Amino acid sequence: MSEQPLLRVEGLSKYYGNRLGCTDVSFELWPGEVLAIVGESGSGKTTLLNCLSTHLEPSSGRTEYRMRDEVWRNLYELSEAERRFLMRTDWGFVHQNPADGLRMTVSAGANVGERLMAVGDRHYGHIRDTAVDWLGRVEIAADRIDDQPRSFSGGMRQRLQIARNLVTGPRLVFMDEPTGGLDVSVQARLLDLLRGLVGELGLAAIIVTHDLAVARLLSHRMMVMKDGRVIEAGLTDRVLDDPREPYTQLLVSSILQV
Amino acid sequence: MHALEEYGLMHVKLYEDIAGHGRIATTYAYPVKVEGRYVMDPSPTPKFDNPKMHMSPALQLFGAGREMRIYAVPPFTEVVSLDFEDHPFEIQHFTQPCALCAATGVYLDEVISDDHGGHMFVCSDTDNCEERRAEGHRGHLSGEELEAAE
Repeated sequence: MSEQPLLRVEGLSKYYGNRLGCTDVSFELWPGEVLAIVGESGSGKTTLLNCLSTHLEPSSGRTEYRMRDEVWRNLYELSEAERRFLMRTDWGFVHQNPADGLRMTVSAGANVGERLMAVGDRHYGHIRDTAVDWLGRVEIAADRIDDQPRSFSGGMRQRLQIARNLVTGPRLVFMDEPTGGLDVSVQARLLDLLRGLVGELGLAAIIVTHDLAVARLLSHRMMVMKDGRVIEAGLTDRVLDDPREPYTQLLVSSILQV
Repeated sequence: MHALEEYGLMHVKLYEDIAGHGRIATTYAYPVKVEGRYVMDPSPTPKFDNPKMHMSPALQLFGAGREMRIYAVPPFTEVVSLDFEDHPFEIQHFTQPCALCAATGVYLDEVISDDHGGHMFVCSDTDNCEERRAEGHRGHLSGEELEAAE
């Protein structure tokens, strides 16, 4: 594995007017590492994710990314065109609501193929074969390739969204509550699938979730946020098994034990 | 979209055509790439005429009403229709010349002529068709023959 991190975040803050989104967040993300950001609603985790993924411009601080050519670039100084290019090649973004990340009125195959076509693949047969392959990897039957995601169940849509993001072999994927809104057995399958793919492809991922079980299953490290600040960070097992901050202890102890 | 060169969606449309119909079924408003950079929709021109836009000596103007814009293609500009390597761009082919003026190599409209399935192919460019007839060109269904048959 590489000896350099993939992403460096220093003192990132975002204010909405006077209101605090998140403040003074610093961390490094290494290739192949999965980082979970947990916290309750309104704790600033989605704001942080949107800043990292350049959907929002932070009020202060910097985020540097090591591009494929090993050059470190400050994300907020990229041109819009460079940023978009990065987002459709080297990054993925999995939305909580699959309808936000999919084109609901074009077929599943075209949803998967869009990124390939956007980066210049001009061979229909190849695009189609790749789409079939990826549908298989996310456990969608090949005969659904020409169906629109409107006719898919919630779990299938989410899996399709994952395939659509991973098809260009990104190095970093952002996920915003990827299992939110799915029922428990579907969540379990999706987590299993995600864990397999992340391991197999050596993806780095930043996952925002309020579900500690998701963090436990998928992430290597986690950060706990409260009121816009990171109050505790560390290896996932350490944080969950031996939480130090009172708030983290409260979070961990409020999981229902079945 | 143009500034960011994000044209992936244009190919998605063509992909959907092949997935649904086995071939690119778009016949007009067929997207073209101008000078290797800008993708444009030359609607309402049929794709039959797309190749004629390439290196055309004429200045070509396209009004895009809903966008409230006018697109201009300068003379002698490279214009290439989008396609896939394994599904190359093709124009429509007609097996017969214009029924009125016998022109070949022009875009023909199919006109239904009666309730029994009768139809004929005539020039889409009616002005050009009339000029040709004035010059004495005659197709197999042009007026004189019909009169002669009556």
